[in-house]
Amino acid sequence: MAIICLHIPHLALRIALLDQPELDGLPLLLSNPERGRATVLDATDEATRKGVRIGMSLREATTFVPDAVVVEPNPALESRVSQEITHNLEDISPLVEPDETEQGCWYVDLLGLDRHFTSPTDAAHAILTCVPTVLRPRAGVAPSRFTARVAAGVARSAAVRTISLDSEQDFLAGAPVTWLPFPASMTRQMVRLGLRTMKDLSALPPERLAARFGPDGRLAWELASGRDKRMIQPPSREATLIEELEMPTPAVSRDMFLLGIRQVVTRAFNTTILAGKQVQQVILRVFLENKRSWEKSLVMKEPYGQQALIRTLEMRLQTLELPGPVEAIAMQFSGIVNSIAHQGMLPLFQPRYIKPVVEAVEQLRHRYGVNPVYHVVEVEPWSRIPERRYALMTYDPSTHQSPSW
Amino acid sequence: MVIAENGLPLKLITRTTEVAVLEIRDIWIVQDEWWRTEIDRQYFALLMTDGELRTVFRDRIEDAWYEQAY
Repeated sequence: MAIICLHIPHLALRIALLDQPELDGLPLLLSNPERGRATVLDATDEATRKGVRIGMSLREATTFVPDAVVVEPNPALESRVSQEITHNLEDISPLVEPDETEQGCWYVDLLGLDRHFTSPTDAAHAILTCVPTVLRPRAGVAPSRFTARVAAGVARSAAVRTISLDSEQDFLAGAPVTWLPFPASMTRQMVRLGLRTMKDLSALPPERLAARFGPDGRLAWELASGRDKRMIQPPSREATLIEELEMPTPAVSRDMFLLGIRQVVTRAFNTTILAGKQVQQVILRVFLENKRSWEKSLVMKEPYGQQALIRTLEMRLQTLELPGPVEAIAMQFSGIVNSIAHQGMLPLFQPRYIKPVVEAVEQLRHRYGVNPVYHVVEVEPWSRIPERRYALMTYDPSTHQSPSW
Repeated sequence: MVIAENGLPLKLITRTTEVAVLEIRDIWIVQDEWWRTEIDRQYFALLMTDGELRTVFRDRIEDAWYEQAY
C-alpha cells in the first residue's frame, strides 16, 4: 500500500498566477490592505529569501522587497480550484482526503490500484498532471501518510519524492519536529525540551511523551518513528448544489446584488436536486472586479424552502457593504432535506399578526375596562411547589417582545 | 371536598359530582420554605373511578385538603 501526498505550497498566493502567469517568479505577498493594519499573510520563497516573514507589517515587508507584488486573498477562487483538484484526484482514486488543517494538501490512497499504474511513483506523476503547473505542485510517495507529507514537503516543484518502507525511518530521522501536524505551541515546547528532530523524538519512550503531551505526544512518537497508522478518510458525501450567476453588468448597488441572489436561489430550486426540498446551509461566494472575491457561510436554524431562504438571505445581507462591483455570484447549497411542515402557532402568538391582536386587546380593554388577556410565564420552573412554577401575566401585545425566529 | 380515612383520600365530592378513588398512584411530601411561611404538604396522585387522573394534597399545617390543578 502506498500513500501519495499532493502539496501546493502557498496555494492562496499561487492562485493569483492562474490569471496572471507573468507574475510567476516574482516575490509575491499575500495581504489584505483594506483591513486596518495590513500584514503579510503568506509569502513566496522569492520573498522569504529576502527577509520577509509571515505576520510582518506590509510596510516593513516592502522595505525588504521593494519590487514585491501584493496579492489579495481570493477565497471564492481558492474554494473553486480546491474543489476542481479534488474532483480530478477522485478520477484517479476513490480514496482522496483533502487535509482540513492545511490548505493545498491532499492525500491519495493507492489501495487496489496496482494494475492501473506501473508503480506508485508513476501514479504520483499522473496526480501532478491534475494540477496546473503554474501552481507548482509536488508529490510525496510513502508507505504512511505523515511520511508522504514530509516527502512532498522536501520534493521540488513538479517532482515526486518516493520513500520506500526500508528507508522510511532514516528519511524521517533528520526532519524537524515543526513538520508534525500539531499546534505550533506544542512543537515549540518540544524544541525547548531539546527535541529538534524526529530522531530525537523517536528515541524517547512513547509513554514519556504521552505523559508530557497527552494523546498527541503518543501520536507524535508514532509519526516520528514511521508508525503512522492513520488511514485516508474521504470526506463524507453530502448532496450539494452549486449555482452560479454572471451579472450582466457589474452590480454596484445592494439592490442589484440582492436581485442576483434571488435569481440564483430561484434557479437552484428549479433544478431536480432542490425541487420540493429545503436547505439548511448556504455558502455564498461573490466574485468582485479586479480578481477579488469574498465568501460567507450561512447556516440556518432549520431547513428553509425557496421563499423563506430568499427572505433570510435578504435580511442577513441587509447591512452588507459591497467591497466592489460584483461580477458573479456562486451559491453552494447543502444540508438538503425533504420539505418539512410545521404546525402553525396560535394566532395570538404569531408575531406577524401582531397588529390584529393589538386591536383585539384594545377592544376588549374598552369593553371590560381592564385587559382580560393573559399569558403564561415561567417564574420558578424548578420549584417543587407546582403553583410557583408559572404565573399569569397581563398580555399587552403592543409592548410584548416577539420571539426571535 | 375530600373524604379521607386514616389520612388516605377515598372520595372527591364537588357541588355536582361524587367520584371515588380507584387507586392511589403516587404519594409524596413537600416540606419547604420553613424560613418564611412554612409549607408542609402530602400529595396524592389518584386514579378516579371515572378514569380521570387527579392530584390532591393535604396541607399538614392547616389540616385541610386541596386539589392541585397545576
